[in-house]
Amino acid sequence: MLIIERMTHPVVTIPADLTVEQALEVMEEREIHHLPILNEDETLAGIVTERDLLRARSGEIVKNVMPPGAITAGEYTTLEEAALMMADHNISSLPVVRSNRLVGIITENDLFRIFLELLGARERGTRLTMLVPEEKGILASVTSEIASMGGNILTLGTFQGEDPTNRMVTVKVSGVSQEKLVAIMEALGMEIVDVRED
Amino acid sequence: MLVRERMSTQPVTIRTDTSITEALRTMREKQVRRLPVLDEEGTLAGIVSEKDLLYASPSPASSLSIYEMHYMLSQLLVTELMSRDVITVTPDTPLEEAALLMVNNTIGGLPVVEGDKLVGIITETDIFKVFLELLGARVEGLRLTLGIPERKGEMARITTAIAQLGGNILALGTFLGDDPTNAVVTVKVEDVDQEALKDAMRDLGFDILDARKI
Repeated sequence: MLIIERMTHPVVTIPADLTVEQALEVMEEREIHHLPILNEDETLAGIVTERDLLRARSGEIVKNVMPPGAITAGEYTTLEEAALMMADHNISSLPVVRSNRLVGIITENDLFRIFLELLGARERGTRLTMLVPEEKGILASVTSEIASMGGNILTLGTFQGEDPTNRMVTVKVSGVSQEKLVAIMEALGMEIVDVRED
Repeated sequence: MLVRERMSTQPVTIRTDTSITEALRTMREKQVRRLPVLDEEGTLAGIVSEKDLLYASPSPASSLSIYEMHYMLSQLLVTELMSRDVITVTPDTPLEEAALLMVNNTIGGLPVVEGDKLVGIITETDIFKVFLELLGARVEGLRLTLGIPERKGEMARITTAIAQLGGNILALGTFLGDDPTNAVVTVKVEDVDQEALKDAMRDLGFDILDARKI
């Protein structure tokens, strides 16, 4: 999954000489919380968040409240790199640029939706979380067992475990009963952390 | 993954008799963007976000002097502005359900309660970190994105083929495809040759959408 597949474009932008109040008005009208600012030659000058504007003095020009050195990403950056950049720099959006031109924007909210997809928050099935040993081939045995029971894996996600020797796996499955699924996984030696119909 | 596994315990809280000025100061000092509000009994009475407080500050068009403005905010209590219908979760709520509540209600954090008692808070940032874990963003390996048919057993075929090549799966995530007949899988693998892996996936009939070393 790359940024280009999930970014918003075209992007709502503002010129650098708007006042804080005018910029807030644009945000309210367009129901957005981030506004990239363009220079006169259409290159990216920076980006302001609703919070930047709310903390600013009234009447101030946006150019003066915009944080210096906007962090940007390219269209072919992976989504997890984008997420990493946001987390490490404590920012909630990234302007997407191609040779200094703004081509899109990706926000925390876009990534949030992907997270929901990843864990199948909008699909129905048996949701099982288990601790599995950290060893090669373990996911192959888990998924093969589910397939041989006739189950369909809707989503599968892997997380850090309690320590380096194990990891946590959350899987959502349809077409197989909860009891059967639990029994088979226990037989494989997996530690069931949680199971529910979702 | 449940909320209890990733929530912050002992969240910063304020009392119903806290002023707006004080609440804003607490947020800045503790670097949080929302504060659960507790009543005298210590039960959850509401929640305020930094945005609620900033939007409540007098408009620049008002005729108040800076001094008057500060005085007003120091007299105004958070109870005037806090949301009383707080959306909460329990420690046993699945993380994706918490994320769905945040997205659907456009809120950035949820108090975690057990009965009447506040036991933690889970925020967008916490969910974000889980997202990074899920996609193995902090580990290095070969990252492959595949277009696969939405069919029983496909996941088993992918993971078995990787295991047969001696590869170790560092992260695996499934996404929705272009339409209901297909899905997209992103997998991060170590200890396997990139070309051998791509060949194996092609032999299984999968589309390789992207491959890179990260």
